[in-house]
Amino acid sequence: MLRELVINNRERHQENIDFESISESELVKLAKTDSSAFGELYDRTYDRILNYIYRRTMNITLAEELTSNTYFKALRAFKRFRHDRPFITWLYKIATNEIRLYYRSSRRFIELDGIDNTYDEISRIHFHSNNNNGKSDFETDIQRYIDLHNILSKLPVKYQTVISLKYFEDMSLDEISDITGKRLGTVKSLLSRAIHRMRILMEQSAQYPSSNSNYDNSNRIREVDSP
Amino acid sequence: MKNNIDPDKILKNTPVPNVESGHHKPELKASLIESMSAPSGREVRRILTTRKALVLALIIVILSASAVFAYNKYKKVEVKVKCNESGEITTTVTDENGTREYKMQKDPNSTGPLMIRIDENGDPIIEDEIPQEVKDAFLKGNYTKTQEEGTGCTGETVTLNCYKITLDDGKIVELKLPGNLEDLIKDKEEE
Repeated sequence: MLRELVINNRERHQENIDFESISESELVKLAKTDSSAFGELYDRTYDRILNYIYRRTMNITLAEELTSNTYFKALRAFKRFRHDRPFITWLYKIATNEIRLYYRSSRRFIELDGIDNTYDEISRIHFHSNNNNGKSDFETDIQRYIDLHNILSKLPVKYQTVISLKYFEDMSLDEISDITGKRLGTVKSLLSRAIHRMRILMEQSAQYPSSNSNYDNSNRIREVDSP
Repeated sequence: MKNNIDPDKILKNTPVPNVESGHHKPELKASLIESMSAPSGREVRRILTTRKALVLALIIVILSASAVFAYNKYKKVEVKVKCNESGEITTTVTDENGTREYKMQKDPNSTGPLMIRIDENGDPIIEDEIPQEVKDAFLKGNYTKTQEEGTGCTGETVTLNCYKITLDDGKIVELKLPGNLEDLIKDKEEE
């Protein structure tokens, strides 16, 4: 079986077949023996993982570092990875663990006054908003996200994780269950409790008006979508 | 106190930041691919085996057939093996003569699992290969498998698979390792 895979793999190289046309599960099989296939998996997933970690940490340098850790850990364990499950949720699982380990070692969440990045880094951050002129107002958008991030950072990490996966990464409950290793019922319960805790924190915060009208932006678009 | 805040709505309507990948993306890709591109799989294995993983993964104890025979018949022997990050192996042997500690240095070029055989005198010896007779008996299915908890040298709890393999001549060999013996044998054969 493995031999066939290697032969197929060589043939692909000989025929110069584009990896982009190959399904993820087949690519995962190939990637066990072929670094180019792993490279393709990496290309397909990198942006989502980087963005996920960035949205959790709000620090590009840190996000890149944790992304590196995520991929090296994935590479190390790749031989044991079963190709019948989605590669991206597996990466999210490793990334979630990396974030948890980071916060455990740093032992605190930093409340942000503003964006904590260099000018070059800021130029790499963008939003797609749906305001009147169709353009993103960076200052407003980033401040809104930071306000939310500061509220989230006061929650236990398990609540942050489920909220972030559901609302920012558009993960289904089944996917969240897979990533967190918790049962579906537990995930629902965590989400419900997280929302309840957020409501209390928001009520105490000066950043959130009693009316939600200012936060109406229902056609928000995420740039990074599923590959 | 405000009382009509809807976090669900706020979460759904707050714009989410996107980061453009910078030079980190190609650099990391190059590092990953470099880590993978090895002619025989040996190099990959070396990279996969980080120092910390090495400490955990290399704890495998083989009691030699003859020694085990003696131990099973006459002595109660306990062997503990620890490997630190610089490759120094500490083996503690406790038998009827008391507890002795041995220090050995792992070959820095060795990427495979570490095996320690206890010889007839109760001294540990580093082995490179699982003896063929042990492999044969294992592949015939003449073994029992249990699990126990071990401790890595950095304090982590590791689950060890413990195999009691009965050789053709009735002697029993014990192996403890963090992975599956079958995989280990397969890896060795591939090498």
